[in-house]
Amino acid sequence: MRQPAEAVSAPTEPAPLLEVEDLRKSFPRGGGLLGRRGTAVRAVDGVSFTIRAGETLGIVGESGSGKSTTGRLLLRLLEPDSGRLHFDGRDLLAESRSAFRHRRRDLQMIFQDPYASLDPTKTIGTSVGEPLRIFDKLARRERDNRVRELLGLVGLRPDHLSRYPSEMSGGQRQRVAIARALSVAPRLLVADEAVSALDVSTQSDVLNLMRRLQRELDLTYLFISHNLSVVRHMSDRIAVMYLGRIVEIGPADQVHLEPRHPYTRALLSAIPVPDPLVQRTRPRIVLTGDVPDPAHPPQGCNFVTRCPHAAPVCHEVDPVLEPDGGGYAVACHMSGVTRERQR
Amino acid sequence: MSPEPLLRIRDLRIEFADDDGWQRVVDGAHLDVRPGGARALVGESGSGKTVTALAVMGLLPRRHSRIPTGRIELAGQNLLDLTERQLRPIRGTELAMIFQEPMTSLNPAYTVGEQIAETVRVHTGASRKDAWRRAVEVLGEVGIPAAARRAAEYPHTFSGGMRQRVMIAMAISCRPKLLIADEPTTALDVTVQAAILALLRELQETTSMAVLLVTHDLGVVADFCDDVTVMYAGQPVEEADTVELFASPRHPYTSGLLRAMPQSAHPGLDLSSIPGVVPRADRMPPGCRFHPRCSHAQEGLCDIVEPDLLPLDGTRASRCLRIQRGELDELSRIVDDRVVAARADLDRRSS
Repeated sequence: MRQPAEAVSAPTEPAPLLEVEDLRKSFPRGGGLLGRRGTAVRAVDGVSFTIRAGETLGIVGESGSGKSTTGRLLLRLLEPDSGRLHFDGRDLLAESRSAFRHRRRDLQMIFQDPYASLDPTKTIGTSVGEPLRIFDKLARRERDNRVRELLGLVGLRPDHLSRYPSEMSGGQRQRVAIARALSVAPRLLVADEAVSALDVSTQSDVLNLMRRLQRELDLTYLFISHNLSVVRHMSDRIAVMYLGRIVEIGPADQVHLEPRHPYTRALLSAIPVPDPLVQRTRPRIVLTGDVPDPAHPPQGCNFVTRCPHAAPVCHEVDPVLEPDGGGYAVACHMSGVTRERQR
Repeated sequence: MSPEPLLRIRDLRIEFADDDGWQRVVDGAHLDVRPGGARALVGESGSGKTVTALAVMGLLPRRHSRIPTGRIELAGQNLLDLTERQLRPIRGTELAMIFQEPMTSLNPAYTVGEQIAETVRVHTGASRKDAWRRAVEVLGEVGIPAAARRAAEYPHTFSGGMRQRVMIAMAISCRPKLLIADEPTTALDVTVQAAILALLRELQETTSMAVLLVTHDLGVVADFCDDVTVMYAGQPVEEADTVELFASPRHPYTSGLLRAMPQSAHPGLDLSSIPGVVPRADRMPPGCRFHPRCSHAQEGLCDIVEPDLLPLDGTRASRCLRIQRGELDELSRIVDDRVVAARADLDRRSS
């Protein structure tokens, strides 16, 4: 799936806040005991998209889809092999990695397990205040005042300042991680499986908080998750990834209700709906086989080994992510055909 | 009346030792699994669902846990009366269990065929040759392609979904009457989860094996289970037929769980949530354990009176005092577009 040169974006919109073009990242694999060179795993294999200021782009995919790697590349927590990253008109990859560190305050990230990303030996106040010390050189007292404000913003009490991560619940810890990310007033927040470790009753709290903060602070989100229901709830647009590539991208309700790529359709069909009568009567697409080894993707279309609609062309030609001019794009030779068949 | 349950748990209490003494983590577990049926045991972290399942298998840590009261009856026999030696032949042939992480339950040093054959030999006394044949046969039954060749391979060569199939193969190799599945698909991708649930359903139909499915995922419950028991803070709070539970939950906790799902709010609107957290075993609130988090709690009632799980109409039971008094009409509100559209479609077709 070669991506088109221009990234896919909605028509007649102001310049996007973030433009990602043909982003690529491979990881060496193998090596093994004898030091043989292994094959490279193309974790992110030519990904392009844009995010407008104030919107939420959701990325959904299963393990090995490259969704988390994509998030890390945007913050240069990993260095891309190639591609272009423009943030607010600036070329992020043109800067040296050390110069980029100062830019990074515009782009922040929260992760699945706040317990792993918060230092267990430091109080919440120290953890949340650390970026303020590094970036803004704030003195202790100013820092503590700002931290109290931030804790209030995410729905925690000022006295949580002196607590340790182990004294808090999972939901509270994720609020702390959000407060810490917000301490440097970022414009784009990348949330990687931010609620996946939480129980459903606390998950909804954190999602509501993220939406409120987005409105109040004018934030832009890249919301990455394996959970399509959560992504759907949070996102204006959704990108579906499979084996390192975007296979479909468009407005959230269209992707959710009228998916055009056979993989997206299978994914939607696989998510059980919380209504037994509906769940037991709706048509199911059960995919055979597992996701192929990303070190050895199939010839032609990446999805061809599991696709119920694969035609001869799919075994030979890698489909391009084709924009339809209306802000929607799908990488499938058969999408026109299967849509007709669906009606 | 319905036939005798295959598994019947009554008034089960389980305590774990910590520095402060014995903490009661399960306090009055109560559930039935019908022969060939599928019962969900649902709850969030800390509800006691997994501990209950482990108690059925007799797999609780011996020195750090105890069961002060209760009965776990399998086809009428109280498993708690049995010694470890008497229990061992029942495990495997009558009862089997699969877990969330198949890799941690497989031995990396033996081929998957050897591990399944070993299970078969121990439980049935079959010869090595017959046990191997059975191993290959069950690997085929659980949908592993080229089973004869794959049986001779080691666990690390299998993907996550295939490893779970291997675990299922091992569990069903001696045709148990009850399979306990503890979050069997939680670590798997959703397309693989769908295939595993389809496999379990198929095995249930062909072997009339009963399943006790422990899960936090109400979508999986809707897909797979006939009956549901919802647990909260170590106690069952609601019991119902799956269809009835989703149509009209009769405990505020159940309805809170349903309404907190992202499918329950239109995109752009706030999701409903349950404030607070599950209380710790040593700090259970007086009265109803859920009352500090419950929007329907009534002062002078719910914070004082300790409720029991009482039968309502038909097959249902609830631990909510206000439901028992007929004071609440709980409704779930699933408004996911696909659900609403499919619902309308069903109604049209049935009318």
